[in-house]
Amino acid sequence: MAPLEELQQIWRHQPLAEMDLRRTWDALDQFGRRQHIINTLKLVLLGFETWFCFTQFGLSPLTVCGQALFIAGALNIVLRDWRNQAGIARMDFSTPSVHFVNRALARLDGPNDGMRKRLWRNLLVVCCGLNLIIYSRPSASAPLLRALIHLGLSTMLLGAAAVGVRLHAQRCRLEYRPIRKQLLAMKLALQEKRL
Amino acid sequence: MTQAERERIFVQLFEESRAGIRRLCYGYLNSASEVDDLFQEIMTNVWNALPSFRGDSKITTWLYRIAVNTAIIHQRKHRPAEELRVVADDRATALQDLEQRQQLELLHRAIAQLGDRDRLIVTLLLEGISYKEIADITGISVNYVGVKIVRIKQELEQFMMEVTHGAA
Repeated sequence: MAPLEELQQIWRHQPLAEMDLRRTWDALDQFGRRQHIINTLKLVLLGFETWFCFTQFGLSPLTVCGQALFIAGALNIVLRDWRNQAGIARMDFSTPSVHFVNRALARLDGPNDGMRKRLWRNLLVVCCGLNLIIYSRPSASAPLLRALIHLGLSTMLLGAAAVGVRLHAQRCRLEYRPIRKQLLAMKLALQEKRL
Repeated sequence: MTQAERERIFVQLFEESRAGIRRLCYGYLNSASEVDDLFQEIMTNVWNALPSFRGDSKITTWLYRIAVNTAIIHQRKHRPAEELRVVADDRATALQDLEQRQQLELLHRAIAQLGDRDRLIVTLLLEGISYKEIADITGISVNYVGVKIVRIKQELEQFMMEVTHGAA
């Protein structure tokens, strides 16, 4: 084998395709934009829902209370989600790899259960809010029918959330599995004989 | 750090380090298109981390830390690691010296046989980065970097010998 210095020379003089700065600026512009748009849309939808609620259901104390609960729960879900995404984007890539790998694994493994608990708590708040809003509307329907409407709406909301959470978890598992596997292998390799 | 200062440092880093970072990407990956993706990811992370750079280490060490960590977390979506193979960048001009070109191809093939971490370490070594800096970048001790490099050199040598003798 050629001596190291020679290999270094060959390595450093290998031909490379050019990469201009313009493409990098474009990539920087695109970074995180899609997720910000999705999150902004969620907030716009929440604003629309508030407007719809007050124009359709009036401003009775019950409606206002219901809407306040609805907004608090929904806003909590959206903003937490946004913060988590920002946290992933802000991972400190400039730390030495051993620490980086440990933190990346903790980030992939850690928050799921806690997040899920909070998510359900917030969904219950949203559900209570929605029921209060519906309840605040005067109706000539029989009490049993009203109860069924409340039950149906709550079941739909929580059922849809359960399906969403399951799909999201499944997607995360599929997406994270190769990264997690790679990180674990790298962690073992880096710490194999840390002197 | 002002926006103008951030842009100035970023452009300077880009111009000075793009070749080295791209070579690191080539050492770690195996396709020109993936190299572009990884390079963009690295530069995005450099841009994001730039305001937090405090000058505790050399800026090149800091840059290579980001490059190595981004490479570690870079997901090979369509290919398991076993299928790694060497590809030359077809878009680049050919090396004038045929012998050097063959040696380079052999070196790429030898590097591709190594594990993820060893590929990163050997590409850093080939870039002329010192053991101390490699230790700073990876977070392992200088002694262990030395041990690793001896083993990696042996593996490379053995592979190159086998290929050369097989071809003869």
